[in-house]
Amino acid sequence: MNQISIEFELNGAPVSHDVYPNRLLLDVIRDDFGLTGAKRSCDVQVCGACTVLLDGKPVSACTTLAIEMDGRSVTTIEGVEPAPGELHPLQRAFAEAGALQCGFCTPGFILTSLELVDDGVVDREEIVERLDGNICRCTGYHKIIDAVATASAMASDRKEG
Amino acid sequence: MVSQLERPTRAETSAVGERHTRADAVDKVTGRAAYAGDIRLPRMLHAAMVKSPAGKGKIRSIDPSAALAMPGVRAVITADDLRRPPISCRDIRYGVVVRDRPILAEGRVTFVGEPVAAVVADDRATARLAATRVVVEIEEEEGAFDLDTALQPNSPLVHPEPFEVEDAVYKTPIPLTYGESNTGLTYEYGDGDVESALASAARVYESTYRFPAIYQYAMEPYCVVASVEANALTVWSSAQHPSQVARDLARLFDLPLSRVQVIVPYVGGGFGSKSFTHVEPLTVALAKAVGRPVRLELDVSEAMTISRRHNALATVRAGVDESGNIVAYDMDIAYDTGAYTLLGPYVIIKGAFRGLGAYSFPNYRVRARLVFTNTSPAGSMRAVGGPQAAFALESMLDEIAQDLGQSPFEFRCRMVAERGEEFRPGRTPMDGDLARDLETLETMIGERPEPTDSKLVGVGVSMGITDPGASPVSTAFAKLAADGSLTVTIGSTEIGQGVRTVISQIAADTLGVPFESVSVTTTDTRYGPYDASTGASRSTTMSGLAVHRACGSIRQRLVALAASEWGVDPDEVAISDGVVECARTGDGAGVGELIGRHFGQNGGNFIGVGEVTAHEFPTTPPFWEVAAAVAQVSVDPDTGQVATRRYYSVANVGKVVNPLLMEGQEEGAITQGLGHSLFEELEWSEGHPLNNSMIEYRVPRTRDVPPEMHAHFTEDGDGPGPFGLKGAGEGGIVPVGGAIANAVADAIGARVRELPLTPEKVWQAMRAASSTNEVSE
Repeated sequence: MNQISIEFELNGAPVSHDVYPNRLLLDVIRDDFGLTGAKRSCDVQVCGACTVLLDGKPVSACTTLAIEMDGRSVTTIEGVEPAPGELHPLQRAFAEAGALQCGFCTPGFILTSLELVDDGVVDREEIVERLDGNICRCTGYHKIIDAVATASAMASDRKEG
Repeated sequence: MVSQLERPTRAETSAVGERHTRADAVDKVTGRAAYAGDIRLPRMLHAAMVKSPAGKGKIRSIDPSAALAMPGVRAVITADDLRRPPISCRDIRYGVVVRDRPILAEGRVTFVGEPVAAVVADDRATARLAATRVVVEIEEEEGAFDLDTALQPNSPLVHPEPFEVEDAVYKTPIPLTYGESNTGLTYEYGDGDVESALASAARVYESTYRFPAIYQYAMEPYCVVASVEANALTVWSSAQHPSQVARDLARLFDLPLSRVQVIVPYVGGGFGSKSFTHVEPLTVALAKAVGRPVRLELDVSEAMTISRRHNALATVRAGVDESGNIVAYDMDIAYDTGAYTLLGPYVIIKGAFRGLGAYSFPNYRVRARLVFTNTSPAGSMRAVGGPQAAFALESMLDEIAQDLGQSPFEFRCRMVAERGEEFRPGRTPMDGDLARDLETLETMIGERPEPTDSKLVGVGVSMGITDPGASPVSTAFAKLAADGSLTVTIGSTEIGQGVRTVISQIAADTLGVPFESVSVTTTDTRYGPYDASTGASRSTTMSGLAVHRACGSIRQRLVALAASEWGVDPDEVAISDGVVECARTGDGAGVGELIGRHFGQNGGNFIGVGEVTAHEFPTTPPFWEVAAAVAQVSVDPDTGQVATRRYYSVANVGKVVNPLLMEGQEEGAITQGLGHSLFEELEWSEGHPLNNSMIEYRVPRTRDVPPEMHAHFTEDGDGPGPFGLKGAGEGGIVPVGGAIANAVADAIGARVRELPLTPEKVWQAMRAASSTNEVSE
């Protein structure tokens, strides 16, 4: 098996990298790039702990081949902070609402929820529906839903203001 | 009971009781928090387990040649290699109560998935692929693959021969028996004369209940990284109880405890699955075999085989007198512990207690049995033994109340132990006001709701009690630096419960420094203090008490220093917000300043040590953890699908250190309980797992939690911990099964006595009830 050269944008920076075609996106970003915020849990695309954004859309890195990054942009949790030491409002909302405990699912939840915040979703039922692909075993979800609703409301206020 | 304990010296609190954001929140929302799986060492290799394809049998041969021929494969080891150099194990078996679990199966296998060999390779994918190419030949034997089979008198025996008893934290109170039946231990607990009371009762009720085997699903599957130096080990692990892991490693590899360093970074959830020693000995053996650091990261299907909750089968008989009071309560409950003992004896002893609830029955008896089967071992999970027994008890109470035409709230209120009542002879008297809690719940749920759509609606109440705070042994260090910042080191691990935050709050208020100036370090058995465990709702109380004492001793030193410097009485010196002051004289100094003056330079630190010993708790438990709950469900009459609409709970917690974290613990416990009540069950066929992936094993998701969920806490300041707190975090899961089952029975007018309440079971119960009604009409 030969390695394939791919080029992509990783958290805003252009990258070229050689990968074997059978390697998973999750392994490559964790092992080759040291971006360990994406977590391995279920391995079968049902828990959302390994979520990254591919061209802005959430995907499960555990079931995506690394070569699919070629020519695209990838955002991991490490790329969510607007500036070093500055949290994204959604990250701040998660921290303040108590939306995390062990923290293993947290990067995945935040990456999935970014789109909801951008869309200004504050309706709890819609948040419940759209977070159905992420599992949290610690919190009971209520505080996660609260955090997303808070961050969405703040984002909508900013847009309107 | 705990009168000799040092009580908090300061009445006022500033950090305790606040909704402080978690100390680890920023690390966790940015992805920077490191877990065992994120540790990378130079020259590190990767391991994978070769697992038994059979549930029971003799190992005929293990052929590693195809695996060893693969590029990148460094070694394959079997049990034969463990005692030989370079691994040189002193013993190959370990266990928390009985040393029955081998590092690698030796001679025979006892469940599907048991590790029989292990591979080390350059990367994880190669190691896992190579593991599938190790050829294992097993001469299969007939096994006891489920609880019903294992209980039969002529069942094949899981363990014909006995094992050594472990002499550590959990000592088996009664020796386990082997070779006669699969029942390793029977524990009886009771008071009064149950048989006579049953014989003279006006009415006797009898029902049998089943509770499923549950996978804890800590989202981080178990991961261990081991590095071996000359006469020393360093291990990074997801372990909940690092002090116990260190002890096992020291014994197995013949090293002093001082040379075994178990480091536990952030843990991605535990819920009991990471209690005790799991794959640490195997990873260390592999690191010794190859002379390089080795990492072993399990996947979910493997994590399912290291620990699970015991499935149980309970038969309850209850005798009621003419006035409708329960005069005799008798439960026989069998817990399936799988192929190895793990915490089994404690699970059944706890289960026997927890199966009696918080009720004062005049005559009662529980016979709890620990039964071996050829399935993956059951260990601990949140409130061990409790949810199984409480589901049976609380279902039975509703069956009786319904038959007698009584309100399930009032029926329970009449029977609950009153505050101060020694409701279990020789044990700690009841330390809560449970009738008040039940009344609170009845008010919260309000009038019985009318169905709003085509669904059936029901309400169910339930209670749970646990005897928590197991192994009350904790030590803590506190180090105050010359800049006034405080570092606290404990042996309890941060598994998500928020121990580092809560401990910071306790330390801040004990010493009188701001919350922000306190940090709690990563758990490390070599540089940090001993703690018996992280479980049984004990960290806030027991580690908290040790920290309280460690900080208290620093406080005393500061007060004495200031008093002598200012020529005032120590009683006149107060410390708050990092400042030591005497109000009368107007003298004052920062806590760090006093350290500098003591050492004569602007440096140095004060170190405080705190201990909690088991001698302090001659009467157990240190406190009771009681939870009461009410649930409202809706049931689809066409499909039997159950949805939880509202769920309210009350917990007696003494004092809430951090409401944000406390709510999180309770909501999480409730949600896990909804999992075992409605969806979750590990299943096997002839010993082979049927649903060992998260596709088939369904846990609660966002849409499964009730839109209205509220955890209420009563704070009576009556706990043994600092500031009058009691432990929490486990109690909330105990009543869930009963509350949901009772609510479903209320909705459909029929009872399902087996969890989880899948649509199929509920639909069949509705169908059976309607056909019975048609016949009787």
